[in-house]
Amino acid sequence: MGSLRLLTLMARLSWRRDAAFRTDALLRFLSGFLEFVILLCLYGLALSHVGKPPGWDYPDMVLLLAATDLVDSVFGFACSSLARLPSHVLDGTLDRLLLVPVPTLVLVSFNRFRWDYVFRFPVPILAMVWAAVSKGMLLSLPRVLGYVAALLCGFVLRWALTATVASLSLLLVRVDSLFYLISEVIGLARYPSAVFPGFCRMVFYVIPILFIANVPVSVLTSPNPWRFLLYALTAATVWGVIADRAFVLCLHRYTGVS
Amino acid sequence: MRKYSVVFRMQVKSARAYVLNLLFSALCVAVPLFGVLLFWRALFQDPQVRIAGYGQSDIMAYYLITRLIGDAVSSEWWEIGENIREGRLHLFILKPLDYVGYYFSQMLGANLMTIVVTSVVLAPLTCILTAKGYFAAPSPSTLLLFSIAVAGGIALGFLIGMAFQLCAFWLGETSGLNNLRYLLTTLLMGAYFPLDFLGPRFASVLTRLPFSYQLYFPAKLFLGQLDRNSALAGLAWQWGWVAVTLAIVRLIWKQGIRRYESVGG
Repeated sequence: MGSLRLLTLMARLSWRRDAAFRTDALLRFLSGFLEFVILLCLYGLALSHVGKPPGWDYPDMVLLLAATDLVDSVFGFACSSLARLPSHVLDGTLDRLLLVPVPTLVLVSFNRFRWDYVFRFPVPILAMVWAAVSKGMLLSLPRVLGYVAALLCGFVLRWALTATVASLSLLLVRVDSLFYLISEVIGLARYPSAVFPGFCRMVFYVIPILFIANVPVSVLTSPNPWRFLLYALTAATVWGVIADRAFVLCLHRYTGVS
Repeated sequence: MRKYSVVFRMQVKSARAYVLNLLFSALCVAVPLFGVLLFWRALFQDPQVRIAGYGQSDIMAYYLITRLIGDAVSSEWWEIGENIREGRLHLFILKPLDYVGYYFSQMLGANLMTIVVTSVVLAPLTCILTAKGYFAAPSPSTLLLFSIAVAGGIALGFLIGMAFQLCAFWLGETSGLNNLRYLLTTLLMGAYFPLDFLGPRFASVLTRLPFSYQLYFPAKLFLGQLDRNSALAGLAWQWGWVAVTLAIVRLIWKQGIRRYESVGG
């Protein structure tokens, strides 16, 4: 209950901050929107002039980009503060956060909400609808709900991977490069699974990069979506537990650096 | 000059103190490169196909070289704007130190280590691709011109970033502006794709803008796609832009510092 009240307070304070710097929030929204459009154009240009990855045409690629962008947007909205965990460790402000009577992982993950990301949601949703219409797909309500659930699993996985790496800063102090590294690895989620050779594909199902966006697309396009949804739910649960345990384990060995 | 060399050495020492962190930063370059190379390999089913004159080997070589120098020419120093917004700038302006020079020395120190480690990681890949004929091994004179072009690219990237960060004197919060600037410069410097993809008319305009001299021009130089005259003319344009952006940064600083207020202790 305390966590929920704190999250509501953080969301309200973040709203006020974003409203106070609304030009800045608008520019952030614009840059996110433009990046999405640039990637759509690049994929369009490449696929129309060169070739296609096996089994992926342009609408499939749009679906993949839309799924990646939706997961990114939810993560950017809710978890932008998680990136600050290593700097909290480095400058010693984590000690102060540990005294707040709510779970520390919740506090460091969700203490800053970026409202501009919410305004980004319609863009990938429109792209997804366009791609679905282009492919002549019939979107039933259960399938759309399954897609939303798979996207939420993608968000949990993204959070879990980032939180696990951020937790290492409690042991290693300076992990900013490792943090960027995991962001780059997560960035591979925007590529279709078909571009990865067999062994890499297996690795990216274990480090669940391909569950973040590829699996939600499969939930939307596959004749048997529930199997993919089950995989996504299982991966999200397993990695959620791993992230939580990793943080607790690292916290037990944390000695404070302030 | 001595004080700036001390700042430079401190930054190098700081980077060396965390070796693991440094190694991870090299992997940060390798991972997206891995993704982009696999993506284009999957697209080029037919090796004869070309896009804007780029075949499979050209595109692989282009992305390899742009990833190798990409981080060095577009390093971000977010604390420049934060110092202004949060009133910490007085810590610098009370010292006999040029603010731009201080961060330039820091950036050089950080970039030196990044370039060294990235080169170690990517050198074997470059050798393999050269041996396989993806691109010709550059001659010593090309390497010399390339080094000058990379130095110019680093200076340009820093100065353009600095100019936008200094807008914090007027805007307070500049993260949105810098996100947008970062995205647009990434596009215009040719990091997403070679500028030639946009067609000859657009490309001829974009290649004269300062951003293309950060990355696109050094990459073309390294890949041997420019003759000697074009390379020298390009270097003249590049360093001309360095002078112009330096003048702009100085002007913004001069105007901005008049508005600056630091309240409290």
